[in-house]
Amino acid sequence: MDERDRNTANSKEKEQEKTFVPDFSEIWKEVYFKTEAVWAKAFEEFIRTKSFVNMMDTTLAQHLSNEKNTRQFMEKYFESGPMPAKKDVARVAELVISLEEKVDNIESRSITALQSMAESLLKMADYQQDIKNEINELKQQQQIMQKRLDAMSILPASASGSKSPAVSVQKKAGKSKAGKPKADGTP
Amino acid sequence: MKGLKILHGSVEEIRQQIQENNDRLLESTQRWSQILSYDPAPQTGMTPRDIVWRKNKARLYRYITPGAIKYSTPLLFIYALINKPYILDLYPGMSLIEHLVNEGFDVYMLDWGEFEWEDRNLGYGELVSDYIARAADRVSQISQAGEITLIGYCMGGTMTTMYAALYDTPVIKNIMYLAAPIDFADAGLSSIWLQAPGFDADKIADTFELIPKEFIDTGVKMLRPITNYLGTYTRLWKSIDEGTPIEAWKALNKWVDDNVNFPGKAYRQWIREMYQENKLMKKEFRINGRIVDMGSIESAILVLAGEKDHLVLAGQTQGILDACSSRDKTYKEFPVGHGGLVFGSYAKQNVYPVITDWLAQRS
Repeated sequence: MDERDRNTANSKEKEQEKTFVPDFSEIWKEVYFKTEAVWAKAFEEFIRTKSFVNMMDTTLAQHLSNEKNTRQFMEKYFESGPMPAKKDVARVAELVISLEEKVDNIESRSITALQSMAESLLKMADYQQDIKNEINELKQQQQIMQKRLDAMSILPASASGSKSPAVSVQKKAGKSKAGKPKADGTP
Repeated sequence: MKGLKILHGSVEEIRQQIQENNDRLLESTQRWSQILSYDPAPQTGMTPRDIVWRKNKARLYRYITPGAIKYSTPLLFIYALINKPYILDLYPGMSLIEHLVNEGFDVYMLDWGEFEWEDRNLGYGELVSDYIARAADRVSQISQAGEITLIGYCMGGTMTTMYAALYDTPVIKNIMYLAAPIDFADAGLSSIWLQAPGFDADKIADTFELIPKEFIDTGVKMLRPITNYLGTYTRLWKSIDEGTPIEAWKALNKWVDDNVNFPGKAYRQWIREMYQENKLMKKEFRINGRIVDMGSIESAILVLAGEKDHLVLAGQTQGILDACSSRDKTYKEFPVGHGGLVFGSYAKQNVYPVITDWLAQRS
């Protein structure tokens, strides 16, 4: 019983010892970041004001003046010195860039010329193919005409009997040139 | 206060929890310092590619399509003269270029390289006629395509407009603008600063000749100074403390700090003729003596803008819509900032599909 009473008393003491404390590290973080956001906004409003713009322009003008003096001094120093200045090195670089530009132009024109040559060759090949097709057509037409002529020459030969088709065709051709046209209008 | 954490327990337990929290904060700070001081920069621009043409420091890359090319119209990305173009190909899994290549597009990118002293006299005339025009010809030759698609990001979109208005071969079938400024009448804080009487672009260009990258970087970051100079690093610390991934932060921070010099002649034109005089919208901007008239652009147009973009306001991107003669125009706005259109989980889930669908229908 005594032990049980002692355990109960201990647990009651422990419960009474529990405390609640805010986590200050998290609170600090949250406060800081919220404050930073507010500062940022406030500063952005400030940099829009005329006073800030004037201050910035004055600072810029002063900086440019200092910069110009420094650069002029350095230029004079290097002019008389044995070492090449930035402008000297830049001048060489400019020459290299110009040379590269010329090579690039040549390459560009070569590519364009090659492309147009290729297009011309393709067109020529197509044109040759067209000519071939036309020649074939003409050949076919010529064969058809030859057959017709052959057919026409056979008819008079068969009508007259002994005379060869060729002779009769020539005679007929000769007659048709010298003689009067027929009544039905055919030559 | 949201998420207020309460420590509870016995005095000893609470003491232990407080000690653990303090140790965690110290470890986070130590890790934060280590990342900023010693960690190597992550690898970026990892999508496989070939260099198919080069001029001066510029490189024309052709990305290797893993499967067959499904779309015959090649895409040519034109990037800005500020920062480097690998924001479009940041790392595997977070890359617009990788996404397009995997979808079967034939993708090219014109990388300007890093301008040096000999490039100080490059203006938009030279950049458009000697670089963009030639790159476009090469794309057409290599892909054997009579038509190409141009994609301009930020100032690259402005230069794309200059090129498209003046050149008709190869045929520009489609133009996509990603946060590209065309109308400079109201550029927000940039207008306030750049149109101030004391801001003399000629004096800056005459003094520097080649505008140093630090000058450009400062000008851009000062548009949101607390966010850029302080918030960037506190966000990193918070990510470390909460155990969230930091690879994206590392890659993006590498890009933000990876600046390039700006040719003085182009800078003079950019500030005076664009921001101060808005000549492009007034049809007064000349390239090699020719007026850049956006009315001659008949390509299909897709304009994407970020609502929260403080570098290029959404209104600035809409200038092309009324000025061009295209019959196929689409404008979409997303609740992101300048980089959010091409980088981040929102871009991947919401912007990339829009881009892919639009291009697929027109390629």
